[in-house]
Amino acid sequence: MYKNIVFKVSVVVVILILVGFVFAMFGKKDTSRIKTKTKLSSSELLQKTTNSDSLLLNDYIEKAIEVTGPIKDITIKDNKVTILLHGGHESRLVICEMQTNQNKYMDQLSKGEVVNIKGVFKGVLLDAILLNCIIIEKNRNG
Amino acid sequence: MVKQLLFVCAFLLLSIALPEQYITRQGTVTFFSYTNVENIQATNNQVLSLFQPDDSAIAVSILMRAFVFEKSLMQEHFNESYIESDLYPKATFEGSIIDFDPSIEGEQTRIIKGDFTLKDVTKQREIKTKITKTEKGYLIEGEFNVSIKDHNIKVPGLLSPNIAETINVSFNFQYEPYEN
Repeated sequence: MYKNIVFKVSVVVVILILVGFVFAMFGKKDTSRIKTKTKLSSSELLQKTTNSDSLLLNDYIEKAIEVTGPIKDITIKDNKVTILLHGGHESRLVICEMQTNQNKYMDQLSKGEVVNIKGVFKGVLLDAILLNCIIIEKNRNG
Repeated sequence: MVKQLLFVCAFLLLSIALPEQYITRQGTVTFFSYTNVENIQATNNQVLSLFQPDDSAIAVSILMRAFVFEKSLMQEHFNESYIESDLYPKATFEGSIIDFDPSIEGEQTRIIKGDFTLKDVTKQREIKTKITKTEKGYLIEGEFNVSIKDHNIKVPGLLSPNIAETINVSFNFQYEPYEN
C-alpha cells in the first residue's frame, strides 16, 4: 500500500518536472501575465536615456514597463510588427516590437494616435527598445 | 544682398560640415549555430546602424538582449552564461567600405573592413557585402563567421556538442536618410 502511494507520487512529480522543463524550453512568456514594473510616458523614458537618470534604467532591464506616447510609424518585417513612438526628442524614439498575437489590432492604429503599450524593456541604443509588446489602451485624443 | 550672400555661404559651409548620413534603427542580424545535435538560430530586428556614403564609414550597434530565440531557455543561457549581457550589453562594428562608389546606381559588391567588438574583445574583420542603392537610401547585406573562442564565449562541457565553435552571422540593413 505504502509502496503504491510512493510510486503514484513519484509519477506525478516526474510528470510535473517534464511539464516544467517543456514550458521552460519552449514556453513564450506572455507580457500580459508579467507584473508591470513602472508606467511612464515616451518622453519621460527618453529623457532618462539622456540625463543622469540613465543608470536607473538598468532597474527596468528584462522587466515589463508601460509606455504611453504618440505613434510615429508602424513597420512590418517577417510578420513582426514594430510600433515606433515619438517622445519629444528629435532623434530618439521608443521602439516596441509587438507580440505576434497583437497583429490583428494593427489595422485599428494610425500615425499620431496616442497608445499605451506594455513591453519587456531590453535597453537603449539610440532609441529605447522594448520587445514582446502588447497594446494596453489607445486614445485618439491623446 | 549681403545678408543673402551670407546665408548662402552659411548653408554651403553647413553642407560641407555635415556629411550626408543614413540610418537604420531596425536592421536585422541573425546568427546560426549548426551542430549534429541541434541547430540554433536567433534574430535581432532592432539593430542600429549609421552609414556615411561620402567617406564610406559604417557603424553598427547591437543590443545583445534583443536577440530572440525559438527556445526561451536558450535565450536565458545566451544572455546569462555565454554573452553575459549584464556586463557586455552591446556588440559593435566600426569600419568603412573599401572602394565604395556612391555614384553607382544599383548593386555593388565590396569588402567592409573594420573592428568588431563582442564581450570587450575587438577583432578586425573583412566582410564581403552587397550594397544596393534603393529608392529611399541603401540596402547593405552580407554574412561572416565568428569563432566563439575569439570572444571568450565559454560553453560548459556538457553543452559543447550543442553549440558550434564557429557561428555564422548574417545581416540586412535598410538605410534611410538620417534627419537629426
